Amino acid sequence: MNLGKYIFGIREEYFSHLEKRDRNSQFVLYNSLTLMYFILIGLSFFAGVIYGLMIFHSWLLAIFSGIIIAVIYFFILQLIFFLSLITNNKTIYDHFTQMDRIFKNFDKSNIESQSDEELIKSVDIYISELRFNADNQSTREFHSSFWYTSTIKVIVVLLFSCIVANGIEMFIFRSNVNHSLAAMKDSLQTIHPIDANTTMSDSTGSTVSTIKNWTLSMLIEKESQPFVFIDSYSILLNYDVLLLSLGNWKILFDLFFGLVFLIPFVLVRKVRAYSEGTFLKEAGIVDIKTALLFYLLSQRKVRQIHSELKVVPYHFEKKNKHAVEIENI
Amino acid sequence: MRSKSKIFNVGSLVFWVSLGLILFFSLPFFKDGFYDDQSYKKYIATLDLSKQEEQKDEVSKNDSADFKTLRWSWTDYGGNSHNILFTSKLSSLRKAVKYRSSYSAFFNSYSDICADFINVSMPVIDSMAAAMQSNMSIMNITGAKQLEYVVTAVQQPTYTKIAVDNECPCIDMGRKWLNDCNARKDGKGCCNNVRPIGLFTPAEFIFQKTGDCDTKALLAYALLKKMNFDVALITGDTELGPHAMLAVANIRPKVYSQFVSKHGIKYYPWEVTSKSPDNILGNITMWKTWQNWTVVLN
Repeated sequence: MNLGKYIFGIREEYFSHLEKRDRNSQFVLYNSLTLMYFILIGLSFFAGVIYGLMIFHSWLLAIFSGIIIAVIYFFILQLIFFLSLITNNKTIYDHFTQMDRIFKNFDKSNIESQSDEELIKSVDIYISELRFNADNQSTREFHSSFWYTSTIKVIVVLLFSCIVANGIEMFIFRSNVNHSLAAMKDSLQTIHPIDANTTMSDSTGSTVSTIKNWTLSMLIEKESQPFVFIDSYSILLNYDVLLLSLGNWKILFDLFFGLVFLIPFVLVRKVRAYSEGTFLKEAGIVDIKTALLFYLLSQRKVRQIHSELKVVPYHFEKKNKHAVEIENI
Repeated sequence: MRSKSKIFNVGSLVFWVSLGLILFFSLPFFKDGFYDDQSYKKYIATLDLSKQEEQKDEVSKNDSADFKTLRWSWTDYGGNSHNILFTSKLSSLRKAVKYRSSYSAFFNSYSDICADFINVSMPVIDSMAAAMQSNMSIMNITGAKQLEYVVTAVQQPTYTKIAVDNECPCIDMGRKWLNDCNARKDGKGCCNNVRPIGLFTPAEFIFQKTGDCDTKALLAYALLKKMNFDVALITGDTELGPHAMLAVANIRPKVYSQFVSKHGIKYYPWEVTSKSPDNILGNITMWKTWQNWTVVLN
């Protein structure tokens, strides 16, 4: 099974020249990564639905918000995956980042007289040499920008994990939070009645009666908008209750989610079977081959046009002091 | 190859185990163990006014034992004696001492520290400022005379050397200092371990009447700011080392004076370290060297 083709574009022919064991190893690596990626997207969709339910109290809008969050996660996590998938093969990396050097090798060859088949053959020969050289080259040097880019990636991934963690934690402790909110509502309705003229400030300067009234208004269900998931209209109140009740355990849960989100990216960076693996090398070679072939085809056309222009008589005529027009005789 | 697969295996294992643990902890039997509903009950209690009234009564009973009456006596340059009595909470002093001793100066500038020390001392400063204003009203002291009234009050306690670490007793600035943190009449008082930067909070100075140049200048600044004077705390170098002074804007000194500018406003220095006929607004002839002076707080 090749799950990697859906996310990473893995073609089975890339591994056709490998032994069965190495081929299977590459499939396992990318299948695992794809599965982890799908799980992260699934979790983000789920968290999005939870947030939607807490904010809108409507399944339709909740599913819509889940899809929105999942799509955002899909693209941004995929971008981070691809930015992390960098080959360690110095030859491929140098060719890929400085293609002018490859093109120079063909500048002096007589490509204008070659047919398409001959050009493809020339490219195939060059690519075969490149593939052979790539196997014998040293690994790419370390660059200081690695720290900068990695820090940004880690911050983005941790931020994403934090958003998902809060959504899923609310799902896990949904019944407990609802129980607490119900108890809170009962307490607020039964505790010493507040005199309308009483103004007692708390530490933040707000009057207690205002806080009490606001809290009660968030907890009393409205007929026009019944509670669906959490029995409160305030997402901040929900998280206040969750945070107060979980205490330091919340950090543990957040840590687990952080691990789940970070590990796929750590694997991509640290497992050398990715950075030195056949997939990245072959994907790079295929792109170099395509670029080179189309460069040669376009150059052939350019040279042919140059040759034609040499035999076509023409002269420049000055029409006015600003414009110059080419006119065929 | 084995090491390559080892990182992958361990990483994958951590991923799946973390995911499994999240699912495992979400089972009803376990998740109740993480959820403690006592904390939010405290929150509800804060909304119960009847309990708050009871707590308020309890606090007021304890408060009477917490107050201390403070007396400040001094004479101004005209020889007039002044005497103020005011009360302030001992808990405010304790709070200020605790705040200063646990303050981290690493991430904060000198001006931030001064501002924070004033903020934490505000209840005590308020009490003293109110007593002074009441007294000035009775004595009919108005305008620029109020400046002299406040400054002479701060100048009155004898200078005490303040050390960040355990330096006292020692010889410094050509003088001998004893290990005695009181404002001694012989001017040999020295306080050890005044962390983080050798500066008392205004609350500590008001209660203990012991401090050095910046402690005194800071209290003078805080009191005069409270009375809506355009004043500043300035720091710079003298022949004896770094020094701090009070500075006043919008009032022209009677003597020729240097000044420190900020945002186009000229601040004239005033030496508040000790009481002396020379230590009047603008006079800096007591210093041979007077350079690098800047406004720290205004």
